[in-house]
Amino acid sequence: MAQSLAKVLRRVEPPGKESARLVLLGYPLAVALRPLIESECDEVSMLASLIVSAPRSSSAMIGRSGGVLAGILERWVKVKESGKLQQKALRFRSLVTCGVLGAVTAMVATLGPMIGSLDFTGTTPPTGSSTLLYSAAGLTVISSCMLGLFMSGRSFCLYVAVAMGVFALVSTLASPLANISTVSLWGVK
Amino acid sequence: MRFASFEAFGISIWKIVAISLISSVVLSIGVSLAIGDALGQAKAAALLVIAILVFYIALSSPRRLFDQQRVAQSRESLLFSASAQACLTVTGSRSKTLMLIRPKENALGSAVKEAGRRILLGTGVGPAVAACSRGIASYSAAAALQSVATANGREFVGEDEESRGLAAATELSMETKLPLFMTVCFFTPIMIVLYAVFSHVYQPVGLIELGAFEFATIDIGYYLCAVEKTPW
Repeated sequence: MAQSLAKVLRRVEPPGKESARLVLLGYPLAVALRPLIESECDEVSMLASLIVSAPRSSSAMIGRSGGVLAGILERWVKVKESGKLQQKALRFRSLVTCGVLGAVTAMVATLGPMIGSLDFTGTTPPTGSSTLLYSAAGLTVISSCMLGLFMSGRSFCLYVAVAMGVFALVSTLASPLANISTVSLWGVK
Repeated sequence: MRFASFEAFGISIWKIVAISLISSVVLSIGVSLAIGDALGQAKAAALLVIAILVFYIALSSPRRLFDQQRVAQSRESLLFSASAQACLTVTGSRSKTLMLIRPKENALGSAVKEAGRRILLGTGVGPAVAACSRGIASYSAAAALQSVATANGREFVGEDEESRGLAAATELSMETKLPLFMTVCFFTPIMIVLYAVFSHVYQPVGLIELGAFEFATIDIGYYLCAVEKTPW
């Protein structure tokens, strides 16, 4: 069994190579296959656990059961791969959502004070629109950060960067519009 | 709400209801302090919604844990069946098989260990396994354990219907919850900025309070829409 394992595992990726090395060094199967059992791939871990249980039962029987199990696990791997593709599409949609969120929030925060003051009474636009812009940026950061955490875990920074990049661009482009002085329509017939 | 999850964890329903009520009240008070008077008259309604959602999240947490255990156990049941069948063929003894097999999943491992302990104390294999398999969340894992006790000696056929069903259910749940969370993340900041604009909230304190309200809303949405990982 050790000979077969060493022959097969030598050709596969790092955890397999490490296991093959440990098998050749004479470690017992439970120790030698630990890198595979603790690997991130659940299917590999399951098959390695089954091999480890062989010394307690029969290698021939384990081999027969393992054949059936390998068929099921192969099917799981295929489903997992298609799931990964779906996840990629969903992540891209979330990135687009973050970009649109940055654009809309920047537009509202830049032009909002001007639109909010259109009461046709000639009152001056309220001060503190820069505070609103900064706080809108903060709100966008919170939102994109949470969406990024939900979708991609640790790589949420990408979502924040996209949202803030679009936010900065749109607020820069829209700022000349916000500086247009409103004409008082009070008394205009 | 599935009450089987409360029974599986040995939690009294009234205890979890009380914990949920306390957590919803405490969080509502916390959010109320954080948002101040930024929302004006809408504050009471917003706090009521937050309290209801927190109550639901706390009350449904045993069900979520139960579902996670079920997914892990249904996966483990395949490995358990395969190794148990091989072990049973070689040893020819149901009790020895139960003592030799060590499943990785915690709850299943504890059930097998407990069955082994009972057998050593003199209980029959059938009654010992029947008593221990009651606490197992996955029916395929319970069936795998029972098949060792009945020693039907059949070939390992590898049935993963439960795993596939759970995966399909998780995917459907994700298809529903993800757009919901995206909507929450998209509209909450926009609505809050519009509210600030039309209510003329430009002071830093008011804007910080609105930011705290946004954080609370999205955080609750996050926990509400959190989906268990697919079994594969």
